[in-house]
Amino acid sequence: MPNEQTEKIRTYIERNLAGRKVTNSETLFEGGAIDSLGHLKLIAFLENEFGITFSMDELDWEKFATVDAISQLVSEKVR
Amino acid sequence: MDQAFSTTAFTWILPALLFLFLALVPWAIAKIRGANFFPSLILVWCVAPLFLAKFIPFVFPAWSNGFVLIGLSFFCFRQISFFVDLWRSGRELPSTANYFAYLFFPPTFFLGPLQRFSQFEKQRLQLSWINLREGAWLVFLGLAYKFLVADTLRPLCDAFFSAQAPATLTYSYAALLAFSIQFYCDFVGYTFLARGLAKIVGFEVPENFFRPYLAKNPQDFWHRWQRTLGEWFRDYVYLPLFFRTKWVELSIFCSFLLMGLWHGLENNFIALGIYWGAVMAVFAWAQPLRIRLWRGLGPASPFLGWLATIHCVLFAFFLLRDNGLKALSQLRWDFSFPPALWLLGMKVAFPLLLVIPIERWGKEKGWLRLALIAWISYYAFLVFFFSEASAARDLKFLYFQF
Repeated sequence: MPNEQTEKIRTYIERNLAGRKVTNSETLFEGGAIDSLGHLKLIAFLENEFGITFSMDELDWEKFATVDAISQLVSEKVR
Repeated sequence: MDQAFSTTAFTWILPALLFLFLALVPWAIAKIRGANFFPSLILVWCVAPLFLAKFIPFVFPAWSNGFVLIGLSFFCFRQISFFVDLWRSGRELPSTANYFAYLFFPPTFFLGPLQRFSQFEKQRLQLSWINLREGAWLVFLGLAYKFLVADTLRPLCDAFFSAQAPATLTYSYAALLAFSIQFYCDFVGYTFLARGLAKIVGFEVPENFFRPYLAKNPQDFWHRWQRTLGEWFRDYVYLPLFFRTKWVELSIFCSFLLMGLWHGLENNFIALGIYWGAVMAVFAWAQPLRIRLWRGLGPASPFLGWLATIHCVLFAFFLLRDNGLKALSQLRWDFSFPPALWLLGMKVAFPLLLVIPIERWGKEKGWLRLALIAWISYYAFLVFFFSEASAARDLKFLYFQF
């Protein structure tokens, strides 16, 4: 499941936010793959896709730094 | 004597008492019943004056009788920010002196820049020679932006927007460019003035403008233009709205619509809110498409992005200005260029192309006197050759009306 989950997240970012290929360890904000608008779109996607919820206190960009980090965050919330 | 007293009461005493009352009530509630007592009630108390100040003059003009509380908007913004941050952080209620100092800090009272209470409370009154020198420099810059550039352009802009006859496309374009510079310099002038006065007493106030007319896209523009107000709307309107709806485009649209309505309930401000809301919502919605387009355009993309953005901004100035919609509807497709505009263009181009770069260069090198001499020389030049411009000078900033 984590691999499938990571794949889904990466595909969403590539198709809807970055418009290019990204790697699982690439820093998304610094590399320009995601900006502040994309960050919120990603949160909406994660909530819909994995049935989890985020609050305003969890907007910390560092937690969304890479595809791997996002997948880890989702796994923690799903548990 | 009686009339003088009633004028003073109307201009100063009544507003001061009103502000004091508005500040005191939620504070007293929080002090007596605890910081978390009935947040919705306190929030309504903070928002209601702003709503009434916009609503009453529009719907019942006779009731307001021309009475305007200058500074009310930013007072309410600070008060909302104070209480919402207090609830979010769950911290203890700060001291009464700090609360009132935050709400009534004179340099930023009327038009900001907005600052979080947590940033403000760390600072203390600190008089020193260095602060005085740096602060005085910022004040000087503020007055220069306001009087040398903004007020020099004012007659042209006022003439264009108050004209009854249709204007040519070229003239409209020049007038719109002039208004964009006038508005920017007027506002930047105020911000420098506020930052300078705060610096003199040892307070740091955040910058508000980061070369906004160089923005490469609309989102970039709103990161550079009046950033503190943009951050306020992001933290207290846009993000809460997003976390309720989980819909980015809708949240953006509503936030910008609200920002437009905050300027006033007139048609042009509603149109302004809808316009920016639509531009930003489409920008967010078309994210993958515009990223591909951006890549496809190659090295030309930054320039084309800038060109599109600056025209997007210029169009918005039509909506910001009273009579702007009328001027827009009367546009004539005529490309002739009146010679008088060249003269006014010179007045603007000179400080922008020569004095401002010298000032920036002098500042970078630490040669403040060079920058000072550049400005004084230019001012002398203006006074000598264009003395009629002095008739337009007036210590009233455009944003006071909001």
